[in-house]
Amino acid sequence: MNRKQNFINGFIKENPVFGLYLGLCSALAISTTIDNAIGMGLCVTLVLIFSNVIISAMRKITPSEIRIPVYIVVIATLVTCAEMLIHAFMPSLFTSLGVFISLIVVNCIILGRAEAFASKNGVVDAALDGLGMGLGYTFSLLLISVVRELLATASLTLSNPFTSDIIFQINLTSLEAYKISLFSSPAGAFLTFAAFSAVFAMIKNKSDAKEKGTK
Amino acid sequence: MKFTFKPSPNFRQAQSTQSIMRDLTIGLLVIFGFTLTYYFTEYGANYALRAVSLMLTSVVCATLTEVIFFKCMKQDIKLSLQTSFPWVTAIILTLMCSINVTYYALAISTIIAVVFGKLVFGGFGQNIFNPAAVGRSIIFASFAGSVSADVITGATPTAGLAGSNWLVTSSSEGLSNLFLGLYPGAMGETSFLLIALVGAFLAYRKVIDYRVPVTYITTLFLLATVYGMMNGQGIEYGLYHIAIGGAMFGAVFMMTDPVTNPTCASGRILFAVGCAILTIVIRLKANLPEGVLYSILLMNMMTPTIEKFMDGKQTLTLKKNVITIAIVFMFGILSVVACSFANNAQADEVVNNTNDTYEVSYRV
Amino acid sequence: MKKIITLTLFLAITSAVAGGILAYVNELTAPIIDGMAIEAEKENLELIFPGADFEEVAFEDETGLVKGAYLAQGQGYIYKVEVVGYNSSSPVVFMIAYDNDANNVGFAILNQQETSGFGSRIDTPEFIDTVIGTTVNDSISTLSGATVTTKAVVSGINAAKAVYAIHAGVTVDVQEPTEPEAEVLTLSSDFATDAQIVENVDGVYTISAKGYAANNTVVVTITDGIVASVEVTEFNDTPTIGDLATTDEYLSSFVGKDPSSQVDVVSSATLTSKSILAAVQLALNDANGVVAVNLGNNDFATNKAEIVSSDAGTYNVLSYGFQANNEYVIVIENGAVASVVCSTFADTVGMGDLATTDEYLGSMTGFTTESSFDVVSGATMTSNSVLAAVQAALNAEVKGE
Repeated sequence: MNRKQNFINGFIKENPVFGLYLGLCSALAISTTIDNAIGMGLCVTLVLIFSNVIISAMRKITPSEIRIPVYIVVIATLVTCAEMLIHAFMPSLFTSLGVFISLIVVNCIILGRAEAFASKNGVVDAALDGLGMGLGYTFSLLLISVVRELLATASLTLSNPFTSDIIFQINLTSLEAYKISLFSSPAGAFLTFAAFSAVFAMIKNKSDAKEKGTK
Repeated sequence: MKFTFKPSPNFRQAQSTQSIMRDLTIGLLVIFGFTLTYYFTEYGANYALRAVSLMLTSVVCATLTEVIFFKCMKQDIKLSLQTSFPWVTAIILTLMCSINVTYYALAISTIIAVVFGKLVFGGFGQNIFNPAAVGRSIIFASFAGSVSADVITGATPTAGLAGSNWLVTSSSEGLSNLFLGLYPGAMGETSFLLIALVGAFLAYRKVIDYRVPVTYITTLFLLATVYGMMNGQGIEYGLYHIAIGGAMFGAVFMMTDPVTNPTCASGRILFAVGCAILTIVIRLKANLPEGVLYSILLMNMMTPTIEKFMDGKQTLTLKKNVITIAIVFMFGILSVVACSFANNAQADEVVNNTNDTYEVSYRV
Repeated sequence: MKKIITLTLFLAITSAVAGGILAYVNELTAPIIDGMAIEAEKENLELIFPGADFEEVAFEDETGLVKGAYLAQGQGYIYKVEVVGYNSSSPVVFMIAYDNDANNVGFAILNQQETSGFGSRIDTPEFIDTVIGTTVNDSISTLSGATVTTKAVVSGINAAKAVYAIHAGVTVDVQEPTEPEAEVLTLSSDFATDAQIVENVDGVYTISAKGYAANNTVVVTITDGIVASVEVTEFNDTPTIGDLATTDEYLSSFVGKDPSSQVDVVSSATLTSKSILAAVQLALNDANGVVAVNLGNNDFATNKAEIVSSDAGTYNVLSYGFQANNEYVIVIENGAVASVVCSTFADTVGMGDLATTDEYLGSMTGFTTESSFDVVSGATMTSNSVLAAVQAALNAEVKGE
């Protein structure tokens, strides 16, 4: 039960982007299209799972004085490998994500979860937590990018990152006159993020109040 | 300048927020009336009707947004509306737009302006940025291209000046026209004379603080004249700058908003001087026609700092305040001089490149 | 002390393991990534060395113009260069290749958005032919009328040459682009602009001539067949640029000139200068009773020129003059007139034969269909018959080729 609760936490209550406000800069910069959002989200999830697993496995032997440098070495290695693999096998994703892949190293989610959870819990728990947080991050990125892409370009496109084929595309051509180009810029990202954070905070407050038995 | 302040906490003003806002609305509607008359006589009933419906759209959107918000917040709608004055934002925003803005653009930016410019900060009296200015900048950022194709009025004088590198040429609008407001531009911003009259009236009724518009216009005029004299254009260049681009409108209706400008008198003067400097630099160097708008937003950001710096025992800090204002003003003059040099250097480069292009464009 | 050693050791081991993993993954992916870079360019590289084996090579370039260097096995080096020409928003991208003997073997423009008809001429044989086949040490001249673009391209080529020098281990004498030969202009040259006489009062001509953007009004006073004064009364070209050609200094340089005098164009105010020159020319010609006729665009219909016989460049042409057909023998060599002789003259003696003097006929030597001529006043019809005959011969020669 606890594991399941932990996992679900990552989506709503402790959503890293809207609840814990971690990893914001890449979240706001990447979420212009759903391709980018999914690509980035999966990248972060994989790195998160692996780093959590490795750090959790090493937690008994890592001296606590140098644990932060060790975490960083682990995370940096993982991210560099990920970058090289993406460059080789998913070139279109590489070009669209650009420098933000390398920036995953300093994404607070990864170091934050490593320090807060993985270093204190077993491997399986850590892996599940990584999965939950990563999927929560992807979920939040998806939300922002759906809104932004719809409002800014009046269309939604999803393509296969390996081959650049389009899987599906929704083109609302009739609404193209109503595009608000503000949402393709960072200013629009902030506005969307603010709106979603408010919604999530509302949900969190309601469920907290329910748990405490007050109305 | 003698600064008077009201030190006694029990001293009550004769007017309430309600009456201030009411007078402000009346002033705005007078200007709107002039706009309607101009468009009716110059362009026909269609245009005047369009102006009215734009205004209605904006007011309705703003009010509806606030109604929905108050409903979600479970507050008494009627009472909250009476203290929140959404229509003032809507009217000012509409008057800042030109007649060929689309209804959709105006509606969306009104909603965003009211929600993100006023409500999320805590409602009326708590906002940092002037909500109408926020709305206008959203129109700029997102809807610059979407103008109504069947409403044609011609290029605004600011756009024209921006094109000719901010030097008044023979093709620019004549000064008398500009002061009277007989040209197509933003709907409410055109008539310097009328706005000045309304502003004077409002200042007399103590609705707005007279210091802000007076300081702003004077500083803008002086800085523009400095630039003009450095480029051989003379004093009328200064007059040109204060007459166009909604400078007077911004000075009277937006910079005087007591919520977003500092509370102390010298703070307000510094605010106005800062606005003027930013306006002229944005116009000259960044070559944007909307210098007034962005200067208001930027100075709104600086208001808490100014307050902190200048507030307090005002009799004791008078000398410090005056020196600060003087320094900032000197800085403004230096910036304008620098702009002038930079612009001239740029122009020379253009001429040099154009000499090459002259060669290029002839087939020998 | 032991603590520190343990800590350091732990960190060192962790880093070593991490480094090992990175090296392994790098080995896996590096060839794929490099292959992709070549793949992307392959299409372009094949333009120059089709079917060769390409390999990306490292290069050093101070100018920053060279964006890529590739080695085609056994054939030479290809460089991809990007320069900013006239259109500052879209760079000119081209490939240039040198073989192992420092000869230029390929030059291909991949992308250019220059002004059509002017800068875009770099993508035509006119320019490309001046590049391909040259050696590394040759200088390349700019195209007149496309100076900015070609200068930029040549500087890009020079940057590529410098990189090639390092790759091939040769020394390169990098040449600045040369200016094309300046043409010598006289008041009889063709200024290729429209000029029209608005009014002529006793030798004071008011002429409207097309300059850069619009027509300028020039007042030329001709006395005794030479220029007495030139004044620009209405200037509609670009201020501060075109009016460099309306200075007193320039205008007074025309005083005393006749049709054979050499004249100058004010550089950077070329078109305005030419409008003034055309106006002066028109005034002079009119005052001297000379009507300029362009062989190319006049159809001489009334002269009904007819080629009687032709033999390897020599044409016998019958052409109707004032009252009858005159016969001319015209020799064309290399597309231009070599000689004109009037074999049978049937017009008015004493008037028409002013147009058949050796002098007049001799002045046609070297002319082509692009040339413009003077018609002898007082013998207009006969002159036209000569010109018609010459035109017919030239056209026949061109068709025959």
